[in-house]
Amino acid sequence: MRGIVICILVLLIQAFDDASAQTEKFQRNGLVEFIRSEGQVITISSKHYAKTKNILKYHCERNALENILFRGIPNSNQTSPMIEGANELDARLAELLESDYIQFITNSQCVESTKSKKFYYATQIVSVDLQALRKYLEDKKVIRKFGL
Amino acid sequence: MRSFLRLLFTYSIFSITLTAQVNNRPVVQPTIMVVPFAKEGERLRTAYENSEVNRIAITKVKEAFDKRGVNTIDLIGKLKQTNNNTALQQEQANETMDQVVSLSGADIYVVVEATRKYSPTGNSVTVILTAYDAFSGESLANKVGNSPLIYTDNFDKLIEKAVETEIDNLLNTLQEKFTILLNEGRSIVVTIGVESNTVLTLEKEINDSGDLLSEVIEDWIKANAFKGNYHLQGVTRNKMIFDIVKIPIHTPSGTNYRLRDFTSELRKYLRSINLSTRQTVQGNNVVFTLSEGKEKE
Repeated sequence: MRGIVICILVLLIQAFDDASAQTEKFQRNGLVEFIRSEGQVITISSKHYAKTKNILKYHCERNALENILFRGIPNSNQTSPMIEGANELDARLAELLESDYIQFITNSQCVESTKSKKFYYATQIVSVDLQALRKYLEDKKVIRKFGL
Repeated sequence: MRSFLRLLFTYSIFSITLTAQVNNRPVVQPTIMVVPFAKEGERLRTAYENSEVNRIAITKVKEAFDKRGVNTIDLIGKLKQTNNNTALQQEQANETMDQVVSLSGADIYVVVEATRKYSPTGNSVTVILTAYDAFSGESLANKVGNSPLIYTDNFDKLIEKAVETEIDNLLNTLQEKFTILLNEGRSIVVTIGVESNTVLTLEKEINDSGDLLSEVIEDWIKANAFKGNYHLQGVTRNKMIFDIVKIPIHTPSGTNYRLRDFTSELRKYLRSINLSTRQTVQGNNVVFTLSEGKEKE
């Protein structure tokens, strides 16, 4: 009986740990740099951190995407934010930022990673298909189609 | 702290409502024409035919508009159409930028100027892109794209690179300006003067309350300008100039609001206060000349 209770406790602790890792609060930073642009695909480097390695990649990619959406990438062909007048709290963007974003990432490679006491840090080279992303946002009525 | 949170909440609701308002409106595609840079008095056809770099740059810019789902008016097609119009054949020698743009019916025109640069460290191309509102002549977006310096004579590729560096930014800036136009309206200039050989002045009391003609006209402009947004530059006995009067882009039913809609309403109002008018419209400038008494039907 005691064994079963311990097992349940261990499972509960593990589940709680996983859940806390999954819900680790993401905060956008400006550590993105334009690398190149080919056609409608923009490639940028994005630096971010996370408590676990599996969340780290997501944070780097989301950071790249959020910078394209809400801030614009300096010295690139996408200097203006793609979305005006909305931010990451907009409910219409929850699906995109949590899961759908992966559809628009054509390439993602980690070029550098380090670990300190609490966090993993990484630099990820991320390529994003801007035309497909714009179409997605237009269909979701987050941005207007080009025009008056 | 509580009042700060309340303020934050109100702001969020306001900005979401504003975005929703803009996004829920039907999108009307502007008609766009891409033209080569032409010097004062130079024919557009000559500017187009004489510069290969400009032709390639124009094609790349048109391609970018196509990718955003916007059709462009073809310059050569439009020139042919203009020349086929017998009424205009006498003016064929004057296919200047202003004439072609005004005859094309384009809402926006984009002027493209591409130049080759030779240097010992490689060749490059610079492309200047300027988008204008054909209605007001206002510049909406300006970008300069440079290709990298490369040891090559393949200028087609260099032009492509130069256009690619800035075309998305040009389109994004244009879209930002469109959103501002939707929210704030277009600016027109309204000048109201009185006929030189009449005793009528703008200081004449025109009703029992003792309101001056200039005051009632200003009240009408205030009530009919988009969101009540206007600016009165000055009033004299004979003239009043509104250097900014905002008019909407769309009517409430979603069709295009034309300048004629505004001038027609103003003319009817002036007629209702027993004034006859002559009006001249050029671009976004409207001039009304007033005299006493209604015109004959």
